[in-house]
Order: sequence, then C-alpha cells, then structure tokens
Amino acid sequence: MKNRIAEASELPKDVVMGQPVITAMGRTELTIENYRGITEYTDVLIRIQTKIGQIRITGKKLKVEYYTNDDMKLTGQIETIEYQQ
Amino acid sequence: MIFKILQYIRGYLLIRVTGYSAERFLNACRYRGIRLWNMRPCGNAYEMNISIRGFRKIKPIVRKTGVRVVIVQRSGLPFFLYRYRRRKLFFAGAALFFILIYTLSRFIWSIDFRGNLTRTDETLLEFLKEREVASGMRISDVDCGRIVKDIRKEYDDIIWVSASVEGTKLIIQIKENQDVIKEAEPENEEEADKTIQPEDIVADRDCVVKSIITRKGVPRIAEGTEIKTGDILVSGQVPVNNDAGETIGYQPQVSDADILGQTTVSYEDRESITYEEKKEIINECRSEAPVEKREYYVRIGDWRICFGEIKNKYEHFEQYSSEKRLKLFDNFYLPISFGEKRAVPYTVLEKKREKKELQRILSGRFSQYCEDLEKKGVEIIGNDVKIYTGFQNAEAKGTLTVIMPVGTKRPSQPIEITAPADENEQSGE
Repeated sequence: MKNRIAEASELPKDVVMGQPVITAMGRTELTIENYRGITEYTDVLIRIQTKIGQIRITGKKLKVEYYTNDDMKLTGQIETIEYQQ
Repeated sequence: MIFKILQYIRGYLLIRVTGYSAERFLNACRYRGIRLWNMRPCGNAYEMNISIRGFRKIKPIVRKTGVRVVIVQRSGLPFFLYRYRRRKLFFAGAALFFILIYTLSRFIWSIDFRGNLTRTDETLLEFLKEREVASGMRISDVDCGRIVKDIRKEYDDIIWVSASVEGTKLIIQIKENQDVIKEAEPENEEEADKTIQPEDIVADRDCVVKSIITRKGVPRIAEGTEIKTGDILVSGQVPVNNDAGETIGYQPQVSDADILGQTTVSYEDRESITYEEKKEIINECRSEAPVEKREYYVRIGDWRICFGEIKNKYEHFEQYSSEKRLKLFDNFYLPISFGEKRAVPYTVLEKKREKKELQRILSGRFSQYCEDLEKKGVEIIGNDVKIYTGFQNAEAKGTLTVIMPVGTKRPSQPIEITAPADENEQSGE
C-alpha cells in the first residue's frame, strides 16, 4: 500500500517508506542513512539493522567515522555489502 | 575544518566502552541524539570520541545497558585551560596579545600611493606629514575628506584623489593630469609678453649659413653668409619706420628662427693597443672553482652580526654585495636586513689587440658618434676620418663636414634711435 502511494505521489521512497540509503564512495567510504541501529561491530564486520532487514558490511580495518541519529559513515577497506532478510 | 575547531573549543573525550551489550549502548546514544565519532573496535571494547555535553548525558544509558565507560583521553580547550589554570603569566600573555592586536589595529601603519607618476611617494608623504598625516597616527583621527581636499588644493595637476583606510593601511589613489604642462606653457608666454625681454639669436660657432627661416625678429644674414662666433644672426629689435622710411623706434621681440649652417667638426678617438684582462684565480684544491670569500650578515638598525670575512691578501679583487630587507605583508618594512658580501680576487693579464679588432672598436665608436649627431638633427655631408695605428695606441682622426642647426638666444641690447623723430609721428604708429 505504502509502496503504491510512494510511487503514485513520486515522493522519494527513503522519506515515505524509511528505506535505507547507502552511498558508497569507492571502496573506502560508506554513508548509511535511515537505519535502526548497529547489531554487531568488529573491525572486519558491521551488521546494521534497517527497516528492510540487516545489512552486512565486511572488510578490513572498519571504522565508524561518526554515528548520529541521521546517518553514519564507515571508512576502511570495504569488501562486501550484503542484504539479509 | 570548522567543525574540528568547534570540537576543540567545546572539548571532547576519548572513551572506552566495555561490556556485553556495547552495541546497545551505541544505539541508545544515537537514540538520544548524542553524537559519537571516530569509533573503532579495540579488542572486546570500543573506543570513540564524545563531546563533553554528550558525556554528561550518558549516565542513565550506562546504567541501563550495563556497560563500563572509561575516559582514555581528554582533549580540547576546556581541558587545556583547566590544566594550565595556575599559569597566570601565560594567561596574562594571551590577554596581552589580544590587547596588543586590538590596540595596534587602531593605528595607521603604512600609507600607500597609487597612480602618482610625476610625484614620488616621498614627496607626497612629506606633504602629508606637514598636514599631520603619517604612519603611526590613530585611524579614528584620519579624515579622508580633508586629506583629499588638502592634496587637491596643494597640487594643481592632481585632478582626482581618493583616500581610504583598509585595515591599518591608508590608501591614497591619485589621478594626474598629463596635459597640464602643455596648457601651462601658453599662459606663461602670455604673461611674458606683457614684460617682454627681447632676445637675439647669435652664432655659437663659425660656419657658412645654408638656410634661414625667420619667424620673429629681423634676419641680419642671408644664405651663403660666413659667420663667426658671437655674430648676431637674428635681431630682436624690430625697427618701426615712419612714412618717410625713417626708423623712429624699435619694437622688442623674442626672435625665433631655424638656421642651418655648414661647418666642420673635428673628431678624435684613441684606443690603447694593450689592455688589461681580469682573470679569476683558480683554487688549486678545488679545481675549476675560482677563489672566493664570502661574508653573511644580519643587520638590525646600525648593529650587525657577521658570519665569515672577506678580508684577503690579494692585490686585486672585485667585491659584490647584496642586501634584502625583511617586510611584513606588502609594504611594512622591518628594520632587519640580511646580506651577503663576496670578494673574488683576480690577477691582471696584459694583452695586445689585433689590428682588425682595433679597427672594429674604433669604427664602431665612430659610427655611434655619427648616429648620435644625426639624432640631434645634424646632417653629415662629408668625412675624412682615418684610423692610424702606432706602437702603443690606435687613433681615429679627422674632420666631419656637417650641416647643423646654429644659433643660441641671448638678451638683446636696445638700439638707440639714430635719427631723432617727432613726437607727433610717434603717436601715429
């Protein structure tokens, strides 16, 4: 239902449906918006809870540059970005 | 960058969070809007930065999530000030710094002129100093309008002036009137007419007159006349004749004429066959490099510190020196200069010139001389300059036949009227 409204009104889905926005810059920087929280965090794996499920980011020397209510920024050598239900 | 400066001013902590549900702690912080940054896992713990304000709010979160929080490092201005709170002189110094900066920025430290082409900065500075405008004065005392008026009043050829204060610099922009000299001349001439000083043109050398064009005055000579130095060529006393053709008076005039005369000019030039050549003394220890002595110095006012010395035992040496003055910004010169002195000794070698080279030097100089003459408006119609080489010298000797402008102006002597004239006739002029 919400999806339809979003499509009909041509509003951005991240605003209407709270979909996460992932912006990757090369392989070293990643910004994530619209998330619920971190479920696991080590320097090789970060699991982030979002509305559509978990996002798994693996890599090396992963570091959270900042962590605020709106967005978070990851840096490090990123290897994979996975979606899990 | 600005964010980092703000962080530093507000102060922040590096904390280590340990415990079973450290992630919960992170999420709770996020939920309460506490900003965390530079987070990194560190064994079983996490290290992260948190602002002082944020840190004050985390107590309930810590209790709720059951984590342990340890402060690892305190950074930022509040901690810095707290650590050095007992250093009174430091704070006094910092306060003094701000006071000084503020006080010094209340004064004019340099005056910059732009657009002045005919007057030097020094002249204008001198003038402004008389009007009590100089570097070192208070900015609040600067009256730009008055400066502009004063400059306009003093200098007629300055047609536009703008004065403005930029920081601690007084900028004075000037527009000069380039035509003023041309305009001023006719005025002077008119003034001169009222009290006319009659002038003759007299010969300044012996010559034969080739052409004469008189604009004012009475020519005393004609084409082809041979004249001697001191002869009057054009008289400034213009005769006034009556109806009978008798001269009854003389009208004074500043004579003006173009007179060309043919004359001979002797030319003589000499060049020595031998000449001295300087040769740098090569250092035997370091081949190729010439012997050289250097001295560096720092000069503060009249006081100077030297490093090294250029004194040497050689008979001949060339000395070079250069100096550079320190300045702040564009034109705030400090009384500190750095300099270098260099002495390069040399030996004198006596050498002889070839005949061809001598000829080349002498004829080169002669043609330069001819060119200079032509630039002055002298026409060369004949020359018999020859080069002679002797034992010691080579000479270029001879005469040039030239046509050149002759005549210089000289105050005219009034001529007494030989035939006395009637009063009535004089009034009928």
